[in-house]
Amino acid sequence: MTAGHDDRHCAAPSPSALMEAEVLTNTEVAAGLWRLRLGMPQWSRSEPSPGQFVMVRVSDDGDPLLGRPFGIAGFWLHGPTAEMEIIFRVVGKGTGFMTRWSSGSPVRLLGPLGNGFPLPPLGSRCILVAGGVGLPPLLALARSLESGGRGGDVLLLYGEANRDRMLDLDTLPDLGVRFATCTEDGSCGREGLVTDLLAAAEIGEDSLVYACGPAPMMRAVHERVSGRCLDSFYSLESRMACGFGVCAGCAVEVREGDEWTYVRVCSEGPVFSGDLLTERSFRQA
Amino acid sequence: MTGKNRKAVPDLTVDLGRGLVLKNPVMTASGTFGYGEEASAYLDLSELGAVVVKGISEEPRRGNPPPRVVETPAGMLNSIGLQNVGVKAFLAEKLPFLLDRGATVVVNVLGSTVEEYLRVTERLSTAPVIGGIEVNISCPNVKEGGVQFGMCPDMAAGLVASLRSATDLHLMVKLSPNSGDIPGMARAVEEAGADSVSLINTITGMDIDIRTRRPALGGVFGGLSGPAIRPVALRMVYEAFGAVRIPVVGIGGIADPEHAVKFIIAGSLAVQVGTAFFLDPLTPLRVIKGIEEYLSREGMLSLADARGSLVVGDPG
Ligand SMILES: Cc1cc2nc3c(=O)[nH]c(=O)nc-3n(C[C@H](O)[C@H](O)[C@H](O)COP(=O)(O)OP(=O)(O)OC[C@H]3O[C@@H](n4cnc5c(N)ncnc54)[C@H](O)[C@@H]3O)c2cc1C
Ligand SMILES: Cc1cc2nc3c(=O)[nH]c(=O)nc-3n(C[C@H](O)[C@H](O)[C@H](O)COP(=O)(O)O)c2cc1C
Ligand code: FES
Repeated sequence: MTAGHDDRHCAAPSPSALMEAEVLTNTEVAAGLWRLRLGMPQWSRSEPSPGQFVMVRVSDDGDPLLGRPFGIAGFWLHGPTAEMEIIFRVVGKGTGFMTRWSSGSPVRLLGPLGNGFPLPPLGSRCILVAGGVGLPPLLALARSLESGGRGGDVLLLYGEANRDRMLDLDTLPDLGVRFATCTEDGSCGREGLVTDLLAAAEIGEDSLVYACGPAPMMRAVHERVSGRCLDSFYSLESRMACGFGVCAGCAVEVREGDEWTYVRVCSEGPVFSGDLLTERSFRQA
Repeated sequence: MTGKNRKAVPDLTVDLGRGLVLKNPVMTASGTFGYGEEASAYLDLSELGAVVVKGISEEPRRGNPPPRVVETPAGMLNSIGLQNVGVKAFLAEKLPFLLDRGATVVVNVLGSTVEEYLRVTERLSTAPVIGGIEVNISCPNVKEGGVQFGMCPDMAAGLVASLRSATDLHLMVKLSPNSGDIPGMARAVEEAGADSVSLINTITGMDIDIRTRRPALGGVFGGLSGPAIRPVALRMVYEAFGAVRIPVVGIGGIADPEHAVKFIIAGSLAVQVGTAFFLDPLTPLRVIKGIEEYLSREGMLSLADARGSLVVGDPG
């Protein structure tokens, strides 16, 4: 296994549970934010639901060793083949390597994994709150609601630090939902935090809130909307080793009656109902 | 690969003694396979030599606070903290599933006192369908000021002797690399009645987040596993093989068939795959296939031909 960090590839060892994919395009769409489109010649599983994720193998030579979890931002089936979109921010070694992938690079991944967002009951309104790179799974949810004819019920709120880091939502022709954006420095959209956008939005008993982003942001959303809406759902992050439930490495604390317990973000989550979460759940995420 | 001299299919069966017979030498390592439920979505559990389940204690344990895992060069540190469902729930809820899937089950047992190990072992011995017990001696002994059983040959031997008198199940004793004296430890547990030794468990380490100046793990210390520990594990397996007559089970960074073959040449009769399972759930099956191919290529009819075949010194 000396595949190295470039695009040269040795045949995947067999048998393997990983799916073979090929990079269609990999482009930097904002500062440090990349949009990776993968083609899968053979898609034999059920279609992923919004909020599910994949474990991406970054290297075959053991460095980095572990797979990296990424939310599925978009998915399209074309007969037996499929196309998957991942949107990633460069934060370290693994995501750094991923920027070197270009059209034709082979990629191996495990998934789809975890439980996605429960779909809203008919007649409810959905507020999607995305902080930074928490956007991808909510894009998948918005796209899925839109293609199910429910785009009109959706309001997507998206906040970033500044304009440079922001994905321009107007470049996604299939999004088809109302959205509002904000930046901390006011360089794009409203100035402030995404929770300020949320404060300005109408939340009622027919509203469902879906959130994904940095832990402090999700905690603020949880505090604001709990008890004021029909239900709220949070896609949590945690350090993961396996991504499919066998290592217990991704534990996060949740409510269990009057007590608490640890659950696995990868297999009981990553999406949890707000009813289960406490302030500590976000501190650990 | 030219097809000349087609060799007979080598026999992969392994008899570890006292009723623990594996259809092939590849087991899953404790704590890296859960209780087999998630894994069974990817592979047929009956194709494995054995499933070694997550360490079981008398009562359920919640485990350590997060973060519980952190990556290191060619490895990872974990501080899961022995989270498990407890022996009662294991027997009622987890074991039936494993048996239904045709798995050979080895139960990793842990405790804070000799008495706790004993009670868990006695409970397990009432379930005659268990293939064997792997005794995790890397646990702190609360009656001896928290010193790990596995750090002191006398304490380890005392524990194994108690368990030996309480069960007829195969007793595999899992050695800790944190004990400096592997041959001494292996001999001590062999004399106390162990049927086999498995090694290595994780190597204690730590990591620090320099921005927050906090430990990277909630449990402060963690256990190092993965390819990074393979050379250490290989050396220790070789030492243990030289020290005892009971079978040695090699563990540590096995991710490819060639790694497993190295452990077999060093003296292992069987191996366990741990961290590499996280990277690809079919790793154990790939290792089985590769071992068979190696034996076949080398014209060996069984594992015994390769086991402990290391040539040291002048090849002349
Ligand atoms: C379910 C899930 C879905 C995710 N979806 C996306 C996504 O759609 N897009 C995206 O850009 N990122 C996503 N992430 C985060 C992504 O997995 C990490 O950014 C990535 O693993 C970092 O890899 P690296 O090698 O570049 O960083 P490393 O070198 O491993 O670490 C760099 C920094 O990132 C932090 N970090 C590492 N792993 C994680 C993690 N799992 N969660 C939080 N912080 C981490 C470290 O503390 C460190 O500060 C998701 C994480 C989870 C758990
Ligand atoms: C996440 C994790 C949890 C583990 N839990 C246990 C355990 O409960 N009992 C035990 O004896 N060993 C446990 N181990 C150690 C492994 O069984 C194995 O000895 C070690 O990881 C070295 O093998 P590897 O490099 O193939 O992973 C654990 C290892 C990991 C990575
Ligand atoms: S990452 Fe291994 S159990 Fe969740």
